Amino acid sequence: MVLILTLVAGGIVFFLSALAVDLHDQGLLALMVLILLWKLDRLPRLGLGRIAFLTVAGFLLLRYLFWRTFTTLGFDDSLSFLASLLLYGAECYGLSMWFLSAVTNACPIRHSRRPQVSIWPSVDVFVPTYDEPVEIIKLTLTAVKALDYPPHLLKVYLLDDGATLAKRCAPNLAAARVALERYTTLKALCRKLGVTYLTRPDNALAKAGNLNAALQHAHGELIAVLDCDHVPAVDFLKQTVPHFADPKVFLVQTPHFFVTPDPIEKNLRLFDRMPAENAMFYQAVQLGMDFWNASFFCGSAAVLRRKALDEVGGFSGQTVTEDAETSLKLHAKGWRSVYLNQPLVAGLQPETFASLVRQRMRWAQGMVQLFLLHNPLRLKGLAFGQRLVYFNCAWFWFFPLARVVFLLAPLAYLLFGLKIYDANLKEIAAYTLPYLATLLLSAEYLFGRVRWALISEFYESMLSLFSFKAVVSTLKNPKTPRFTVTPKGERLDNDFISPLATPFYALLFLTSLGFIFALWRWQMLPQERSMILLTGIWNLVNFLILIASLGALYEQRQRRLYPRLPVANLPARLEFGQQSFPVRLRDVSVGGSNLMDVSMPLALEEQGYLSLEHPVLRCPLSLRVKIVDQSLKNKSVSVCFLPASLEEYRALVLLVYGDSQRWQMMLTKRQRDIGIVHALRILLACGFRQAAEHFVALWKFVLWRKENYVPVFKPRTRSSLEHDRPSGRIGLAFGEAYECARAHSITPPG
Amino acid sequence: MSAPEPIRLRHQADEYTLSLPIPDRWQVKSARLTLDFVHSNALIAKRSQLRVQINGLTVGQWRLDPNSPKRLETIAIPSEFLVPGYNELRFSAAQHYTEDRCEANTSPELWTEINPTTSFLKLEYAMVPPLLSLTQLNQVFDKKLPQAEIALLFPNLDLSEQELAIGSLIAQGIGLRLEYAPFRFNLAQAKSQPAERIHLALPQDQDAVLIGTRAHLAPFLDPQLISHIAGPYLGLFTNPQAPAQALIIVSGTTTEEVHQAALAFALMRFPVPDAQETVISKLNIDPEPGSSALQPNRTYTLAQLGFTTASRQGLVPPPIEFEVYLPADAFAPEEAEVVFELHLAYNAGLRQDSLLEMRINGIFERALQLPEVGGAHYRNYRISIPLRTFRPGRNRVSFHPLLVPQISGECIFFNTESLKVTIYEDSQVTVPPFSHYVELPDLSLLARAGFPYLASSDGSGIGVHLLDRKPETILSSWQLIAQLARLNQAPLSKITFSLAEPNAPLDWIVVGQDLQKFAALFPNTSVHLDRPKIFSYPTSLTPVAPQAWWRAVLFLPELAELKPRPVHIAQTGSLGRFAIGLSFKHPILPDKLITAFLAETELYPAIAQLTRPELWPQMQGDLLFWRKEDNSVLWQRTTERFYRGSAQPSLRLIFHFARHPWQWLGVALAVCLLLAWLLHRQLKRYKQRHHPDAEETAP
Repeated sequence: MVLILTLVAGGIVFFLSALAVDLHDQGLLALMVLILLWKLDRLPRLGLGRIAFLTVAGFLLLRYLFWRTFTTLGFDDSLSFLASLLLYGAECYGLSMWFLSAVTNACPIRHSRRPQVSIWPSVDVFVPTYDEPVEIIKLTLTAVKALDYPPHLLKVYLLDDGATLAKRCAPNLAAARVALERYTTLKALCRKLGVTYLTRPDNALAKAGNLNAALQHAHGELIAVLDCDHVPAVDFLKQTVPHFADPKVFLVQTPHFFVTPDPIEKNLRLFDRMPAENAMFYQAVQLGMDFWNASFFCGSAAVLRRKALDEVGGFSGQTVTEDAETSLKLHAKGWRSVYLNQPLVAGLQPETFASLVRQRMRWAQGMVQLFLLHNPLRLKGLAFGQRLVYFNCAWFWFFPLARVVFLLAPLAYLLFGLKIYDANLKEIAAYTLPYLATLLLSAEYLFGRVRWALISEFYESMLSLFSFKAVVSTLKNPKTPRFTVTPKGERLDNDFISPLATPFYALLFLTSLGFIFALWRWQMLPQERSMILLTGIWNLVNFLILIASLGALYEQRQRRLYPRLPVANLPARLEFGQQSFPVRLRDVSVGGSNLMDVSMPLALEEQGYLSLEHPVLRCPLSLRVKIVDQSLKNKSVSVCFLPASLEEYRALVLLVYGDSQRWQMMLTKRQRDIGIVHALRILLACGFRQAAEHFVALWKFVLWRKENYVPVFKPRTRSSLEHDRPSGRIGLAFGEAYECARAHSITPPG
Repeated sequence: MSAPEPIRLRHQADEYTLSLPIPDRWQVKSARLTLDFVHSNALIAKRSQLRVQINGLTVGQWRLDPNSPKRLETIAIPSEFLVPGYNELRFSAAQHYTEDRCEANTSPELWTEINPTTSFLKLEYAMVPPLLSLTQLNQVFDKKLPQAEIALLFPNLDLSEQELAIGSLIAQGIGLRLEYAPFRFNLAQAKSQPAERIHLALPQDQDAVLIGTRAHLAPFLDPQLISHIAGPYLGLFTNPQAPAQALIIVSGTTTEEVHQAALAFALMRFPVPDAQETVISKLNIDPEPGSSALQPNRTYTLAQLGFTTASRQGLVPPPIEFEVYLPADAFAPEEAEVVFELHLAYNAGLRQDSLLEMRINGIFERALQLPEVGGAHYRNYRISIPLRTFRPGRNRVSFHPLLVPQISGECIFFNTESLKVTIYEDSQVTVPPFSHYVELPDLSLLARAGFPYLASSDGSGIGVHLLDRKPETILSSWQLIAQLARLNQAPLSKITFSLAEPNAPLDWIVVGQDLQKFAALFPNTSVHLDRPKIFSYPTSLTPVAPQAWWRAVLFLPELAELKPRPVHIAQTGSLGRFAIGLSFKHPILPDKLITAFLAETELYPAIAQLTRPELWPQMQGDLLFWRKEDNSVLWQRTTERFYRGSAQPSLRLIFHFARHPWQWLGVALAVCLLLAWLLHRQLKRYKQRHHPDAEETAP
């Protein structure tokens, strides 16, 4: 009965959405709806209030869609019509995403009660690797071996795809030598750590193939998958495994928590100031997906049931996002998943924008493949909610197509006079502005604490210029994309402009030109001023996004392999010979720490001991340290750790990564809803500041070119092993180059 | 002579043209034109003059002397210059402020004004007897006559319902021939008076129509003439007592044949047959008559709308105009647009600020710039006008050229010959889809389009109820029907006249002077004409609603809203010399309308006054008050309104919500919140089933 009533009410709402009432009726409705949404935003974002918000907002958006469809698509000329259709398509895409997102996020849930476990199942931990630095692998394996789990039930495997037989026997002798060296090093490391080292003859099916090859050697009831840069906290298994008490659960996924900023956060210096870019997915969307039993495997930080995997023949590898593909198949078989919103692993983000683009292109290609090869709307066995959620996740990755249109659409009118949007000022006030306001308000409502306003637009606009081609090529040939590994653990010794900046220069130039044309049109075509105003403001938004993008494309150096993490002023004692004094740890990494309250001068390179009560192991810990830097003004000293044994190293790793509560605190600290305007102000301020630095660097580069000195600018990147990096120029190391150029110009030729 | 607009002649050379109608049956004996005019005292007499032309021939001229700028001049116009038809009376001024230097053409001191109320043309004329041929009917009832007065003669004034219908057809035939010209009828009983062939006492100064069956007319016509009435009969004769006056005989062997003859009289507006008498043997009317109204979702060429290719020349030439007729109940969503695709051309040598102003009913809507110096020819120049810009009924679409020569300035020859623009008749008008849905009562719809009475073009939807049989009441009903026939541009042959209670499923026009009977028939009208009388008094007739704050926020225009708040006062007294018009929903028949025209005295003069071109368009609201000598009507909106039409439910809702925006808001939000509640229940149930241990959380 309720269902019938719901369908009837839905039908009426749909009918009213399509009702082309007079403009003043629409204006009144829009205004009142916006006030209502604003009021609802002040209430707890749960239950009936949440559904009311989404329904009312959806109604207004649907009204916009109908108006847009039946009123604004006039035919003036072929080019204008084509441009207006492209824009209309992009808007339809955006609206479809809104509605899918509303369904997905209608009722987010959390599993606050952990089921009781009497008999713990056996667990195999898979740590797949390809070309990551040995230091990172060692760190992760050490943390995995230290997991709080009955040792006889825990078996750890390093799945090395970087030293497969094919790679060791590669025709390129240098590459073969590197692979062989890696093989020897990692095998020795595994033997030392008590980890089973596995490799295979070749690299077929990439990560999925690697995992499937390991399945033949492993026999545990559960499989935990951790990327080799994902360091687990000690309670990773204790928190996740109990959820397998439900025999239908095939997956317990936890968030990917990153202790390093992504390149955009890093370059804009927004890390720690705003929620992480992935927080929206892991802290909000996954909770909504979990409600629909559609939370899916994200490739790492998850535990899976072996029996379920065997039922579908292991990990699927038809697409380059094997994780989502495998989950989709298992959900279709009736298995259930659980999303545990508790950060239990600490990972590393890509260091450069190029690496980020590479990662996101793979995701985009994979999800487009999923859309084409296993369309969730057609796949048998899925529930209605699951279909929508999976469709939402795959459909999202078409955003590059829409974003490129949104970037270019105002220019189509301003530069070429193409009539892309047939509406007058009153219609814009009654339909378009409320539509935009509703989009902003609902983004704020659903994700305000985990994603600030316009951050999505900013990231998507930056990535879309590169993902566009990837999506189109996948659409043309869905089976072509190959798995590419995201580089991790890069160290950048200098600041440089990303080599991917070129299209942004071009767009910035065109957008600036758009303003000139807007002024010209304003003078010459007074009858089109509503259109000029609309596209002009739109162009301004694009301009600001592009400026901020240039800021984000000025890559900041990253010299540390191990990120320093805050430890909340942990008390300790620093001992040098007979001297001993109390200190507090400001931050700590596996490499070293920054100590506070040190007022007496210390000799650099002097070695001593740092003693403290281990917060995870709950026992005294004494670590050998060396002074590397001191600031008497700040009463601080930097030390590097010199662990003497594997046990010390393990204790150090647990000190840094063992406590999952710290991750939760870090995450909570970053999650704050500061409102649309404030968020925008911060983003623009950071973007403009960094963009200024970008332009200064660019100006210097121009000056050098005038002096006929054109060095090959590359960032100095370091890692312990050679990586399979993208070929070609990586970046422009202006800092270094400037120094060289200055030296060169001072010295007279000859 | 009087004209509704001031006559101003400006610039170096200007002219003003009046149309001077001379009826075909007038023979002008003499004409004297008296002009009262004032001109600028900055003009120089030597070069400035005012000239009067009749049909292009100069009949008088005056030097404009700055020493005597106020002038009263009289000239005699040779009578032979004034011919039957429309004569062109033109005033041309040549105005200069300097003798020997070049001067600015548009200098503000170059002006002359003719006072339109104190200037006059005095004509002396004689009536010419009509030619005794039915082809002359259009000349007998000539729209060029300043005020036609026609006597309608019946052998017996105790008219039956069928005779009332016949009388209305005669009235329509006369009204249609006179087009826009005012007219009045006299209803009289035919009285015999010996004369040759026609033994009838007739008014000396009026044309007359004698109506009756052969038997009834036998006492008035000689046997030979009677013998000609062998079926539906029409004959044109002269008044035996006043040969300049015409007498039309409408007869037949039976009342049905008389009806048929009357219908033929109303229809025969084409000059055949060329005979004094005719007997109609058969009369076929297309059962589905065509309509001149625009149909939804159709494309018309301007030629189909009666427009022929037109060119204009000069700086500010007269506009290029045509009419479109929009059904009075046409209703479409706000964004529905009428699209004009113009086929036009303009000459080379125009300055870039030359343009063509498009006006709908005199209101500026769009401008077409004519920017090409080398001239241009446009096909399908698109102009979109919202359908709601058009009024119900006739709409005048006009294009006003403002043409400027490329080379202009002091002492430079203005090539006005090249200032030309043409609009072609194959230009198209595309009408958007619309429905027929309207809010009633609204007397403005009756005024503009005869709605709802002309919903069917043969009048089959009209019922006319007479409260009494007084001649004034009968004439009033005929006058009103003739007015409706004019709006319809065709006779309404299927009108139902009723003296019984008006309960047939028709839209009724109630006319009469028996106010007691009216009050008994319709006790619930907003104005009670019983004793004591209850009159409606407007406390705020046309207040403008204060600007709604939400409209200001959305940059929407201020809506001038008519918010009548009538008070009703029961009191003694009477209507006196006032007539009232009252429109309201039929108390029994759903969706049917009653419009009553009532007066205690002087009903017919008041109705005749109401149907004059200056009063009729003023009708609006649902309650009218006016007197026979008034030039304006007082109106109010007093009664409950209702919707009528056959629109889709969605359009009905749009129509309703356009008038009740808060209801729209309430309904939309209520349904959304209901849906939200239902969805929430469903989700809650789903959660209990699938995630009993999980908690809802807000990320």
